[in-house]
Amino acid sequence: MNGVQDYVGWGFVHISIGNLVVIILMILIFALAVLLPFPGGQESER
Amino acid sequence: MSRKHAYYRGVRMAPYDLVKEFLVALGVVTLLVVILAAVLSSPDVRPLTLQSIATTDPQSYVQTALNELDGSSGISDYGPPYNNGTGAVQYIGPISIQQLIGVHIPVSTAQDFVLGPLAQVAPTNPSWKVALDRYNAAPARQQTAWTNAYNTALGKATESGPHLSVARCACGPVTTMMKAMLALGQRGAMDGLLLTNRQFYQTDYTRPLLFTADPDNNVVNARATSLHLLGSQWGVMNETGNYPGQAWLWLYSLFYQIPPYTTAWAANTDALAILSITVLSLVLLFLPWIPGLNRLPRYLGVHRLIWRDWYREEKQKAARTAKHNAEVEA
Repeated sequence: MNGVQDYVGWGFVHISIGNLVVIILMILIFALAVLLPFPGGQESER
Repeated sequence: MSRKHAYYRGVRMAPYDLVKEFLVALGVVTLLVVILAAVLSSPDVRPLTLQSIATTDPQSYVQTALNELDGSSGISDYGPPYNNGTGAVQYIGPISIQQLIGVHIPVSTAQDFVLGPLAQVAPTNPSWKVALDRYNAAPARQQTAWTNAYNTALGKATESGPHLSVARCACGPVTTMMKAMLALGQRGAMDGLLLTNRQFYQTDYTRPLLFTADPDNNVVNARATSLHLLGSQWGVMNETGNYPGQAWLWLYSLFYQIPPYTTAWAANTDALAILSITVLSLVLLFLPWIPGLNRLPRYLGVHRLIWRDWYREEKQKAARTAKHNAEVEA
């Protein structure tokens, strides 16, 4: 991990692989939180 | 019926154990932190100290010291909070917040970075004391002539490892003073001599950091460039090595990459980037009260995805009702 850094560039965007992985994971977790069914619980009318 | 009950009337409720969720999340995160810390460790890049700079690049170190002495360094003319210079003063239109706040960490580069540290150690070396006394007693014009002559000679100096060879010059006591500065730097004494002694435990590293990171210092600039830490390299987002950095600072860092922040506004980028982030943060804070923007969640419809079961059931219920009504009418 302390070795030479890897970066990807696209136009003025310049991002490290570490940051890219974290951002992709955050988006993935957000998508899963939205798409996975809400944990069960007995529904009740009030 | 209370207002609360009236408000929630007809809304289905689902019991949910928030404490259980909190404890489960805490357990999972703690486990992840322990495992990841054990496997990945933490960034471990050797720090840049004045000693390491003086040893690996003595010419750059002495040039920085000389610039601090003759008042031509980046810090000498920086401006608030260190002095009344204008070199790094930034404006938002006609207003400079930097100047409004004023000088509250006064730094006199010649005194704080060169004359002061030398005065502390001069009693241990008679030749240093003689040189320092001679410099302090000389008129300003003579001091400038000596430092200018040394600057010219230093430009032609040669390095051999930690050794610096500066040709003989009409530099008066400055030659001895700069040799003393280099010796103190290479022995590791400067890192301590620049600390501010206002309390028992030393936590104020302002002066060592200013001396180390002075724009004249090529070593720091080169190291920052190689580690992708410059502002123009999205530096505030990056960490050393392959560790992820501060990805959440992407928006703040973005302003340092795009025009007009990098072109017409380049002289005031920091102030204008802070202003832009402040405006955007206020927009986010007051989003519920901003007409048009406060309708955004409705248009985006993320809540329809989260509560899709409820919307599906409502649709089916409506379809059944419609079918039932049609059958009754028939």
